[in-house]
Amino acid sequence: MRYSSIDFLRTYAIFLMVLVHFVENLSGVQSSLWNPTGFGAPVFSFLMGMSYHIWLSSQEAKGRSDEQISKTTIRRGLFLFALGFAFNILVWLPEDTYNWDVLTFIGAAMVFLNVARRMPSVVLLVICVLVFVISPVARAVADYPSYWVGGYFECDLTLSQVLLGFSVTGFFPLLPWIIYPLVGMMTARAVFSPDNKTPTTRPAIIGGSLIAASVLCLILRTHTPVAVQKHLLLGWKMFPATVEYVLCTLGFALLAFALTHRWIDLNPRFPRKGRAAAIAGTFSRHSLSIYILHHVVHLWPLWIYGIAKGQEATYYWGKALPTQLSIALAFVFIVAAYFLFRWMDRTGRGGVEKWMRWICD
Amino acid sequence: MTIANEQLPGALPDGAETEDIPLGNTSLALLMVPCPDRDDAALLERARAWVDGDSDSAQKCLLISLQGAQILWSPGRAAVLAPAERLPAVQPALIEFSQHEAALRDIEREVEAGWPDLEADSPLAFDFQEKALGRREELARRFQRVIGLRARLARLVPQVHRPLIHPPTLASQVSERLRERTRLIDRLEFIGGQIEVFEHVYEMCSQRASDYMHSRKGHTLEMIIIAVLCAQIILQIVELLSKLTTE
Repeated sequence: MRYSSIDFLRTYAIFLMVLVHFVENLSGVQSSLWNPTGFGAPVFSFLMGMSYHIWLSSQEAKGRSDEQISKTTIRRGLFLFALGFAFNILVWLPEDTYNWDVLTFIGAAMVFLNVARRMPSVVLLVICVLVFVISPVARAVADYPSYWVGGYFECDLTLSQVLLGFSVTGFFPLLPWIIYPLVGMMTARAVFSPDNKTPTTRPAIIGGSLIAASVLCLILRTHTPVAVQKHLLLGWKMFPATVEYVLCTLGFALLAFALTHRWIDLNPRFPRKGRAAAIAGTFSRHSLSIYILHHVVHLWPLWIYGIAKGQEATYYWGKALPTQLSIALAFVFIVAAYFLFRWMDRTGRGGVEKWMRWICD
Repeated sequence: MTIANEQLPGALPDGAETEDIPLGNTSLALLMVPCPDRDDAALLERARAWVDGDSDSAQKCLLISLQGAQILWSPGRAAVLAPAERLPAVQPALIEFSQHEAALRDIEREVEAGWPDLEADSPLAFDFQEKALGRREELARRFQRVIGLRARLARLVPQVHRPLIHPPTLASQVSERLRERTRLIDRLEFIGGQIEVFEHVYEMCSQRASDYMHSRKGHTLEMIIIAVLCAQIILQIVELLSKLTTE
């Protein structure tokens, strides 16, 4: 079953991601009010947990055995993990093979969700709390800042550093990012349960409370001891995903889902066959392809141009275009991607999602 | 309660009476006709047509002739054509039998309606899983319903299995004959067997669900302990890896 709320939220995450990446990679502009870096990936990971639960329910309804479901899940996870490495090598160039981008994280998270699906929600909640608590400790133990040079993750190609990157210090390490898909799965269990008569109330209240807690942490931070500011309350940062950042983005994902589910899925007057739902559905179905494609279309020309000018491939990274032009290109890409994927749907050509299903299912 | 005249079977002899007697969830429309002439075929036919009512062919009425009394009976309607002095003897027996039959019919109908649920629930009698947790309340309701049916049947059985009266009276004979013709004793036995199947399945479901919930609580606690231990191990591994990095 498709839920339009999930399609709309995933479309929002994709739009944000495309805009942020174009502006950052082509113009070197970091987060701003109109370019709010840091909300796309959490929402995307949260929705991945929700979608996994919906997929799981459909597989169980089809009568697929537990073993078949496990095999498909693990194959999909490994496919995404391998795709993440291929993406890092081909798009971010080989020196960034182990930067632990979002694709490798999603692949690993999917394998973990295969274990988590058998656990009661209360255990998942305890795991999330533990991850949330030990993440700052693990970062302190691993000396997180030493892996980040000029705002970007760099590690030596030693097993210990690579494993630390995967678990704690990389761009999207398991600690604390695994919280998002786990909470997504727990939310889907609770919201889509047929016994739940008020499915949106609790996620909305919890989401709002988490955002309030985050704001409180941000306000109180300056009044805390230096040690707390250094290791626990680091302020609003995506890398590392600080306490404040995790609380706020998780709360935002929960609240946004609760509201869209109430206003869209549970609203009988909402046109489910309308234009907006169709557009969101197209972007949502092809989100993985769009993620890869938008990097390819703006980074490869950048690398080629650098080499053609006799410079290093990454020479023009962050300084190739003025900001306005980067924004315009991001919008052009979104429109072009929509028509491209509509054409692919019409002609039966599948993107990366279709390859994944062909290989793994 | 008196039945409307338009529902009556045409012209009736003087003294004919109708009564609507409540029987739990249903009622019995009873027509009592004082009839000195036993061979009044036309009256009998009219009474039969009335007792049959608009029921389908499978539910046509029973005719019993005893000691000059002719008794027509179908579920919901009955007629007695007998000499006036015999009518008071037949009426209580007919009402009592109809009460028992209606109670049994109710139980039969509920059991019949429960078969699809039973088939859907029977896998849970073997294996209870996480995804069935939401059905626990439903299973409990069905189990209670089955127990209720068994209790109703248990109350009905001694009333139906009464010892025969000796010497036999018209009332006891009417009652006995109707029990035979409607196979009341056999039906009691069959429905008892069917309820036993329901009891068996739902008892097992309840046992499985209870066992599952009990072990689930234990497993949940174990999983939480394992998660805490894993968190500690992860921190130790991170510490170890960071030491390896700095060495």
